[in-house]
Amino acid sequence: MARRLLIVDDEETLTFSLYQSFILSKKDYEVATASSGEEALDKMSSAPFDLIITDIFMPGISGIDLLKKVKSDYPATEVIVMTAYGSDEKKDEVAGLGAKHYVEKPFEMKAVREMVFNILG
Amino acid sequence: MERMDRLATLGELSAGIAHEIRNPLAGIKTSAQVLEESFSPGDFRSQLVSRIVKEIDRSNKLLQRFFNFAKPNRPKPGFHSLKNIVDGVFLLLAPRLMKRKIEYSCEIEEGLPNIYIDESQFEQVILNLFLNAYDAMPDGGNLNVKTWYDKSGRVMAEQESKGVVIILISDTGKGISQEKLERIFDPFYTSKSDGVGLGLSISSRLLEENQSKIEVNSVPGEGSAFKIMLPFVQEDRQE
Repeated sequence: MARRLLIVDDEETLTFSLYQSFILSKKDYEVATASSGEEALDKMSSAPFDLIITDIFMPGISGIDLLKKVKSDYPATEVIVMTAYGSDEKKDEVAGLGAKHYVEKPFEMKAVREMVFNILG
Repeated sequence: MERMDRLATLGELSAGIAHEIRNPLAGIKTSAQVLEESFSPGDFRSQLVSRIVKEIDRSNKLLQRFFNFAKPNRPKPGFHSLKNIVDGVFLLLAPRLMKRKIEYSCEIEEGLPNIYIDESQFEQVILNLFLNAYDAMPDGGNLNVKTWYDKSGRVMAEQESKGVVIILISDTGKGISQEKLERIFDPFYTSKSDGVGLGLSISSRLLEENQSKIEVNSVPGEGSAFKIMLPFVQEDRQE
């Protein structure tokens, strides 16, 4: 069964390019995107994802709230958090909430892809 | 107080700008990297895309400096040898200093206690001060470091009787006029044609975060001296 990856960010250029990157990686992943935390939770309720890559600062439900909700309702789902406004405090906070990785934008796509490959296989 | 208010406002503004620019930069960089992989490495289009990525990284480095100023990471202090830190920064710049015929001397008081500081933040401060001295001496000169332990601690009111470690970094460069001295720690203030004006403001901010202080004395035509004052902390008493 294909592993499922959800990319969540209100920055459409980033979600589109990440989506393309994983489609082109020739891995047997089912990749989807969401432009908000609300849309991500909607998609999760239909069929949970194995991994979510989410931004922190989004209108509506923030990436932090999404991380909390996912970790409480879907504990098997791993989360990678990305942000354009990073700090040590934020990194510690998301690690404490159970995020697998924390990346600051703009990141090296290869590095993020490696993280995903390591988690999803 | 007025300067602190301006620092806070500019800091928040810088962070906001950095945030709004980094998001699109992330989209451009990821798109470029996906595109880059679709060309063979020798293809000129791949080389062009690779240049886009390099320019994004260059812009991001500048933004990172704004971030460092706006919101320095919280210090992770530990006990460190001042000599090791200063020597490390000197080694980094030694080839440049030699090339410009800048004589370097470092006088560390014997038995100087270890300093309690965030090592990488303090390295950044020393590096900024060395680079400023380098820029102030285009035709060579002397860069001197002198450190000592002031047991009285009188130079920092709150440290009286506990002691202060002092680091004096002086150069024989162009010096700074009184008018410029008053603004030298202000963010975005620079007298260099290619400067951003954040080096000294970041240094001052980082030292404040580490409960330390910096002062400057300068005589135009003779040189400048920056005095860093670090509160002494007993090594068996981490605070």
